[in-house]
Amino acid sequence: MAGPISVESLVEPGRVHRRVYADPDIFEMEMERIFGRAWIFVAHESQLRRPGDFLRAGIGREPLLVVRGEDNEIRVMRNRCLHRGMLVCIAGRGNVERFACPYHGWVYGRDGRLLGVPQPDGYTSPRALGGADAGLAPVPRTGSYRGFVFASLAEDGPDLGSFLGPAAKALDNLVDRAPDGEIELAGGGFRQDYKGNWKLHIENANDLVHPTFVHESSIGVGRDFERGAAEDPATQQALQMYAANGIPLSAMSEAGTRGFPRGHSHIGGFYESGMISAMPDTPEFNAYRELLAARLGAERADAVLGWDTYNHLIYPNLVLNPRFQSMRVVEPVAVDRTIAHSFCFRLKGAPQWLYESAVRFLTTLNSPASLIATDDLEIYTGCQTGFAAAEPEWIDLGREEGRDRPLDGGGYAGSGTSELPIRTQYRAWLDYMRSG
Amino acid sequence: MADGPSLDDLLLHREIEDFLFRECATIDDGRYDDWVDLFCDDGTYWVPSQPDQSSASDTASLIHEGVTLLRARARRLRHDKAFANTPPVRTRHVVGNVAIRERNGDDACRVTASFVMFDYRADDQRVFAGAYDYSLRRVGGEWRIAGKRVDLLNCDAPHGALLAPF
Repeated sequence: MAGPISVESLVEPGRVHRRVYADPDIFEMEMERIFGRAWIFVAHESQLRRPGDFLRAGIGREPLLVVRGEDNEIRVMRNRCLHRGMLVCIAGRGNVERFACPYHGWVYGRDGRLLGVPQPDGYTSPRALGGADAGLAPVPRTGSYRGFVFASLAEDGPDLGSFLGPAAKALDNLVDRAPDGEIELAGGGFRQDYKGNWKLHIENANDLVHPTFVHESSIGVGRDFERGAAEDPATQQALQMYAANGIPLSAMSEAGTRGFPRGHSHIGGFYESGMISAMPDTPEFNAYRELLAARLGAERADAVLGWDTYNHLIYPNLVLNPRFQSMRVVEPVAVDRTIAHSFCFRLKGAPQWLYESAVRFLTTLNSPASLIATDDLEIYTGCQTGFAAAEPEWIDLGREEGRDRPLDGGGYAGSGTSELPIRTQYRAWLDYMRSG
Repeated sequence: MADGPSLDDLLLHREIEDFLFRECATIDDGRYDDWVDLFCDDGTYWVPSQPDQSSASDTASLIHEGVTLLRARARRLRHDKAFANTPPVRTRHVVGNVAIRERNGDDACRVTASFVMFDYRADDQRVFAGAYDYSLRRVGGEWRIAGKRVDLLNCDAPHGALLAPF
């Protein structure tokens, strides 16, 4: 796959060249031009409550450190000592007074400033110590929206609000579901590791045609066992989730999809019945609904709870499911290797059963031992292997092309079985990739 | 001489070891339904996602399932559209350090053990290791699993598909 890259030649309406998934040079460009420019999720504020709380994060392959300072500001900086390039912080998360580089003991404050160097007179080059302002390099821009902290490696570009655009509603809806108006990251999480390109994951997250086929085995056993004797809620929820992937494609179509500027998109909800439906008429759910109504008023509470959507993609790598308080962050490792991180949130003020249902949703869908996700992983690997075939050169994304309806305020709407979300992603891909 | 184990203790130990070996054989032979049959009707299989995880409801687990979901899991593995298990995974368990921690009469005990499991599928062999913690109960004269907890050394690592039971 040698030769200069003309990205325009790789993306056409309704199809993309296989090189976008398989060419290591394209991957390098993506790290620089997409992950190096877009706003990327790095932390949730609930992970950093007190001054000195920190966690390690990353954008593309850049190692970052996210820290709450004495002044309560959350800063995002490069996790790299000014001296010899060592990670200043090797712990995943915690709380510190200051960061001391494990290699030669350079010390940095919670705000990243260089506080001291052992035997400083030994460093003869003034460049080494860098003067009073020296410190861990901050990322050019950081921003926060409703508790979600994003960072951008680019000096210029749209502010976070403009970047999110209509996709901000996913974050709003997730937070608005909390009777106390606040959410916290809780419940642990998973990392799925697969031998395939990062885009395979985000495309699949907004694809309502694949479940019928890819998940046939778990749909089958979901149906087989769902009709058994009354079971505990944990068992029922998993079986209902297995079976729901098998609703008719006509129903998947009705669920609908939306594509927005800058590559964001979402698919409609398709959990139509049982305890996983949007507003089940059960005493437990109605009690929660009343709690929420006490803060938002009944009408607004119902609008929040009734917004029946499934996965939202905030391009390039954040997938949110507000209804089940679930989140995935897709980490590109190499052109053919990806790690997908998954998490869930606790809605403050909501009943415990609701949180437990979020934990079960996370587990049933994202555990590496999930009956659902394991089949997806096999597909990603199989696609990546398929891309190595020279012919055909093109990957088709044309499903229901031409039926996308423009939306007021930008973007398009389509049926749930349209490949509109993927076409939306490639419009953004080309915008990021074509300018050097 | 100090008191050694009684003959009764030795017999029980042997019986329990034999049960664990037979349990692992059901998995290594791919007889996943037979494996689920070894659980009590109200039994639970738990693979935490975090070291020292104390709760299965507050924190996500790799697997935390009762018998119905385990039966669904077993049936799905041999479903002809289980793409993740095509070709089927092969496993081999080695179980050791078996210790009876608590004994409640003749019909209930808590047992811990260490294990290594190799799995092989699609040109890729992996190694898993960890600790088992069993609650066993005698039902109709036969030992059954009331609870099996599996603490993997790498429970919180990035993982590819985890298919066979540990």
